[in-house]
Amino acid sequence: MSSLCLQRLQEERKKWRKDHPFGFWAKPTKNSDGSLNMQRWDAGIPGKENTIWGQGCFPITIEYPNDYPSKPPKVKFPAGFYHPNVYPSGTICLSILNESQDWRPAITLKQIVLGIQSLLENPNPNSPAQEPAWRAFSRNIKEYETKVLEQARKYPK
Amino acid sequence: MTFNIDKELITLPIHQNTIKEYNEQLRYPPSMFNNNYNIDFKTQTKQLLETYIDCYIAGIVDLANSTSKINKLGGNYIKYLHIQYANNTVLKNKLEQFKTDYKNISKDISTDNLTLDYIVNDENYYFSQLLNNIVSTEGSSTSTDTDFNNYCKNLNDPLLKVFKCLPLLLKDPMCVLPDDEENNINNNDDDDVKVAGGTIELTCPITCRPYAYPMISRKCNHVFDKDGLTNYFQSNEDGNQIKCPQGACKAYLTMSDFIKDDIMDLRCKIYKNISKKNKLNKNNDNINDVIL
Repeated sequence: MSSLCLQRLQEERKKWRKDHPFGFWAKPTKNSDGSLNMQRWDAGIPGKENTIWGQGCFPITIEYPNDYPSKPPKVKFPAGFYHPNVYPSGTICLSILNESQDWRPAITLKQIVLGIQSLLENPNPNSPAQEPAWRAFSRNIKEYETKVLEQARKYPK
Repeated sequence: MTFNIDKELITLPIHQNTIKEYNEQLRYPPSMFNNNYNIDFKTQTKQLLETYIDCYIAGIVDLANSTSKINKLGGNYIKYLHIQYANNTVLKNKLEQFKTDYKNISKDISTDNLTLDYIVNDENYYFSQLLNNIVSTEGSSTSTDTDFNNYCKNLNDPLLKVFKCLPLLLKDPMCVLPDDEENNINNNDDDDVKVAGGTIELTCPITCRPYAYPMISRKCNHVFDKDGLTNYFQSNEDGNQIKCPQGACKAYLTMSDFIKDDIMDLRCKIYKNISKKNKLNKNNDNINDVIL
């Protein structure tokens, strides 16, 4: 791991502990020997109140590559997560997480999680990443909403 | 226009010759063709100001209490710029006059390439003779203060900027400077300067640490630490321009677009000094508590 990567992640952790948006959580995972793995974090994204996502807090994993922050972290929901812009593997399709699109080293953890929260209720129909959720979202919104509500119950706040 | 010859400068821990030379420059204000003056005076002023700031960081002088000295130094510098500006306008007017006269005498020869720099730098050219005639004839500058202010704005002189914002930064090292606000309005770009609740962040957006060597992009005015930038541009192997590290900024940059950001450096130094002082005061309070 480059020294900048580790240094930046330690500062991100400090900043997050000092202040983070309401309802979110994020922390580095632990290695088998109990030490912190700074390059792999677990986090939770609460659905926005008064939306079909509002009842859930959705788990994500954040993997920081060795050349972070020059390269973006890889952010994943659990495999099979139901959302038009999430691949079957759980990988999130979001421009700020894409190196060739809008990723910049100055983007913080806070901006990433807020971006994902906003993506939940505002799917981008122009970049589908999975068949079921995308098809339902564009053709049968009732079925889509039922599925989303069902999923939210699986990950209660 | 006369300069303030500052005898108090001698109290600074700086080589006596520098002060001597500085005061010497003040006795002989700039003439129209004295280019050396330009470089020397600037360097000397910069050196003196830097010494002041270094002494402040080391706790030898209190800048807040020596603003009058800084103002003298800055005042001299502005006067110097003013003289230079006035000289240039007079010279330009004379040159135009000379060109018209010359055209009237000899219509065949083009005067289009005849610029001020060309004449001044070409000593062997026969124009130098004529030039002396131009200079020796009377002429006065018709420029106004507004002209001079605009000239200073376009000059983008880093030293002048430091003099202007030093008093503001001493009061609040995280304050938004009037110039920055202007830039924001002109560019119609809300994240041009990183503003959080009306303050400037003193940490690099890439490293998330306090700046060690802040550098500013001349294209988009975004500031980053040298370490973070080096790392970012190293990751781009082909050396082409890549996107500015600031989110949503549309500029494409290389390392050569960045220069040292003196203002940010000053902000950090002042901030460090203030927090050091606050810590000391706190410790003293604690000691008092124990004694009481």
